[in-house]
Amino acid sequence: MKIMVGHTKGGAGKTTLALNLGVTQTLRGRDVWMVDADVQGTLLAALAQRGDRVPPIAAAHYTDGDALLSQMKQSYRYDDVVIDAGGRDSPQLRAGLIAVDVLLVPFQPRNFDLWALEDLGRLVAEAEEIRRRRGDAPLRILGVLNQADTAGQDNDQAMELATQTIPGLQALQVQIRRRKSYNNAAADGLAVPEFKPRDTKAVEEIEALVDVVFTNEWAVK
Amino acid sequence: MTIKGRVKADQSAEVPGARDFVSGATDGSKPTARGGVMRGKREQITHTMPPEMLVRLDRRAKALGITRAAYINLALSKALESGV
Repeated sequence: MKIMVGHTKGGAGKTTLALNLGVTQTLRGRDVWMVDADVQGTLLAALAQRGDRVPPIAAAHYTDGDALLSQMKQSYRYDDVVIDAGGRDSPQLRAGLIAVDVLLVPFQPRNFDLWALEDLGRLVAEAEEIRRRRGDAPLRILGVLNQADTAGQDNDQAMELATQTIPGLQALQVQIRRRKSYNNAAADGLAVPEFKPRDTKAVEEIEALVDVVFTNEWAVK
Repeated sequence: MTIKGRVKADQSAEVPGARDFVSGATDGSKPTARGGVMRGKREQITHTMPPEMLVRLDRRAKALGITRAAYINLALSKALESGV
């Protein structure tokens, strides 16, 4: 399955989630290709921190939309592909919208993240038209709350707004909370299931996210 | 041996509209008819000049409170209008 973690706004947590999705899926025995499509190259830098850790993970860095679209033809060699698109309206983000099966949209329950979803919604609509002309299936668009609040109604209100803003966006039940372990693990290029000391709650969140993203179940609210 | 020209990196052209969609990103850049690069609504060029002229240019632009690029464009438009 080809998935892209994408949002037109930076700081939504795309790279951290892409890292956790790709690495956790690899730990489950899948052959995963991780694609850093952000010019900043943070995902690739994080993976480099893994050093000789087993299993090794195939990774590539594309900063050109046409090159990414072309190289996605290599995806058949892998069980899964995880693309981390930079937080801008970039050619790579647009190429990904054409090439992947699943778009995972992380957003924080904050106004600026939600406002930016309007831009992403417009791009998704254009991409869907091209996919339709290609005879491809529609994008499966999954929205996940990242750095979610532990209390209050902002989480629910944010997800409600997201589903209204991007037609077809499915609200995932799993929410990723703000936890130090995500940041600490990512600094070493690790997914939280690999990280010591073990943060059970973070591991449960990521395992649940991987379950729903890499299956065809529509575990929605 | 056969000498062949380089294949243009145009794989996405197989999908109608895909290439335009991908290159239409606000964070991307499209080559112009001259093969140049657009930055927003402007075409980017590379220009060199004597260092001492650059010093004078920057001094004058600063005095006017405008950027170096703005001063160059201002001076150039006046020069072009006057038929230089």
